[in-house]
Amino acid sequence: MHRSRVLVFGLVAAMLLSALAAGCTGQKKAAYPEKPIELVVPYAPGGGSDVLGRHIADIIQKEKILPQPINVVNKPGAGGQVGMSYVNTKKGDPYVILTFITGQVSGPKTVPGAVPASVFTPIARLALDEECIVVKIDSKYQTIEQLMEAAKQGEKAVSIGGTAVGQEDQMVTVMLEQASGVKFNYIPFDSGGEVMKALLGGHIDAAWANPNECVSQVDGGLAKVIAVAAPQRLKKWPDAPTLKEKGYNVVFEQFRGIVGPPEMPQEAVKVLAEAFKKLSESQDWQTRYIEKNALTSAYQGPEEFAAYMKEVDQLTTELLKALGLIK
Amino acid sequence: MDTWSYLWQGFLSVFQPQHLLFCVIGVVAGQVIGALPGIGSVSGVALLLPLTFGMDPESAIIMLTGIYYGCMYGGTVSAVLIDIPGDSAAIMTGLDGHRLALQGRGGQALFMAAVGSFIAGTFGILMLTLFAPPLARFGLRFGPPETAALMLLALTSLGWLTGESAAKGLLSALLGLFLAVIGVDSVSGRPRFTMGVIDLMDGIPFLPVVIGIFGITQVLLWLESRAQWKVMKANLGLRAILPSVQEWAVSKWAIVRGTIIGFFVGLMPGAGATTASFLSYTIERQSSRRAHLFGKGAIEGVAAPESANNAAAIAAYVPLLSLGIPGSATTAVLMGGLMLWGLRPGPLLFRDAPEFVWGLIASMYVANFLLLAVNTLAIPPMIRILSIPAPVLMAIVSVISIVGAYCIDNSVFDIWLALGAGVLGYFMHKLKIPVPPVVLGLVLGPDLETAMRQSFMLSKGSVAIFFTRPIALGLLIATALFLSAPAIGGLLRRRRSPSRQPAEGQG
Repeated sequence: MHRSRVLVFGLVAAMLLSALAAGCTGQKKAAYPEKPIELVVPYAPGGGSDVLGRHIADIIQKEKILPQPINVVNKPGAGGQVGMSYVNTKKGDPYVILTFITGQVSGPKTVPGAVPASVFTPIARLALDEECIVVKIDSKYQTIEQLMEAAKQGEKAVSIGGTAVGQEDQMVTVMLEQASGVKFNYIPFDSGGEVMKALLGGHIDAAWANPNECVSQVDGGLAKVIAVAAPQRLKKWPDAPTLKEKGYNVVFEQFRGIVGPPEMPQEAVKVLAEAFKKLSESQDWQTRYIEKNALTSAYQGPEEFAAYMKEVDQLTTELLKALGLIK
Repeated sequence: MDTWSYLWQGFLSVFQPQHLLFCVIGVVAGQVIGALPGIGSVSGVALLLPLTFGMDPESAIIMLTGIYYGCMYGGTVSAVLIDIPGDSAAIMTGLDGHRLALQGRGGQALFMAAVGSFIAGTFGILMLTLFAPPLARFGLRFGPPETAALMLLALTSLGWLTGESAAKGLLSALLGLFLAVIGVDSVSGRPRFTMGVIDLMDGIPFLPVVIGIFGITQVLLWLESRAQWKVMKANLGLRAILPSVQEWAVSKWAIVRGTIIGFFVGLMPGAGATTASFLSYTIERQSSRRAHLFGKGAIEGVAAPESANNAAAIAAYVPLLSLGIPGSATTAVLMGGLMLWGLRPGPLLFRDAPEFVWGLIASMYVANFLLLAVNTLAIPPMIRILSIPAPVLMAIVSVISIVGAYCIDNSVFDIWLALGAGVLGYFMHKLKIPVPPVVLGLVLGPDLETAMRQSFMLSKGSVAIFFTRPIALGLLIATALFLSAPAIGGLLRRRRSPSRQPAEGQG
């Protein structure tokens, strides 16, 4: 009896000790990440966020920036909300990250019960996508002055197409309306491709497009950029003036970045932010993603990115109020 | 170099053993993916895209195109054999195809579908090779008013799908249109009937509904009846599956019409293969002397929509390659893939990477041949699916329906949606309310609404926009003719033979 109790005690002690030891060595060895990271793209395959996600996965693996691969998973729906609510359930999980754009900051504001952008852990901003005003190559409006002049002729005299309601394209339209006092006939389409198709078919007078959405048509001689809502002219099309230099104080950029779930461990955030910095400095990234998609490379670490997101939050709240989409 | 020498170069590239191998892998994978309900061409291509990262761009695009293309053939197989369309473009195929299978002529249906698809595909690729830029310009003339009119025309198919009672058909169609209204309003940005459910914001996705209302419903009905498949012992020789002379005769023009309708509908933004198959089926039924056979096993009811959906799938490449605008959801995914390899589809691609573009086009010709071979030679083994004991088959159908529903968007919500649609379908069967109009309303409703509201925004509320544009007006006149044809026909017949009128009135 006595003997067996000692035996049991001894066994338990040994188990505890070994567990402790394993825990210690485990902690020392556990260099994050020790398993693949899931990158959630809350939009459909083929879209801008998907292209970003797949470039990240591809280049991080090829350049061996992280010891583990990144797997892209599409969870599209409800303007990003489906993917956002999914990541929101992964509190504190260092192995789930999410692509994030301006629309994911503004979108939830108009949806009761949606997961707001502020719950997520900012990791890195990677790029800025500019908003361009594009016309058909043989349009009767060859310059931004001509377009604005026509728009002044009456309410909704000029139709301008864009993607979706209450998102970037409509918000920048409102900014331009506020800056100029005209009222456009904003026509929403389901995707950037449909906007370009309506523009090339002559069904709308002008269109908002990210460089990425119109570069094929502009470089191919089918359409023309007449103005950009960027702080300075784009390297890609230096002839297109900024709205600012034409006297309209309209600067609106769409950011593309990466966030983690709520309460993501600081250590993981640090490792990933460092990895994204390396990624954004790599040659392959700069030529294959940034240049080919006509983006502006704009890395920000976790703190700066958090502050930047707050600014975006304020600006988009004002614009959505002006649109009457929130009170 | 002219088109032909470029194309020749393209063929030389495709016939390199490595490229040919990827073409074969692609079409076979596509065939399987297409046959599985839910995992249609969009998710199939998206799932396999990461696998191609290590390949050279030509091999990768050849394989992905093969998958896309294979899906168009594959969707037919499950529609005909087990009455579950593998993909939304195959819904119409199932109507008559499955009836034929139950009559022991499933082999003939599949054979006709393969031949129709091959002819339509080849026609589409030839048009793409020779006339891509002018065709793309033609497609651009379809703005919102034209799209709205086209959708309206397709909706008139409802009239021919209503089965025994017009009221029940209409009820079913209205249910579909109502379901299509759920989700965020595309113009005001406000949610409609979402009841605070985030997953309903984008509206009810139709693929899980298709899976549920065809797949799950069938399982439920079987659970009740426990019936064995009433299939005649199918003769499995290759000769026994050849369609008869009469079947060829009635399908010949169906294939030609399906091809032409499918190709031109496919050129338009947003319309795509599904609308093309609806329209061609309607037109076939409308113009047929054997209209009474439609829905009961008319082989031309298989030939026409199958030709149309393949022609439309190819037509979606026209705006992609010549304008850089994807013509369908799947080509949008392919475009994302192309950008990963640093290739940007658009007017400059023919100049900057001719070897790539022509390799792609040549691979379509090859894929088309391969699929014709696969789809005719594999018919005998495929028919064997029908001899699987019903309990086993139904278990398989349940599993693939649920997995398929999840796979579309990696969404658990879609599984519930499919199950709910299955229950709905069960009660519709019990009440003898036809199912296809629900699906049609759900597929066409959102596009019709968006296009119509865009038109009214463009015209600032004036209806004139639909009557002052020739294409829109033409489509509206066609719609009116379609709707009034039975009435006018009836009137004429009555005038000619007043004596027979009472008897006809009874029937």
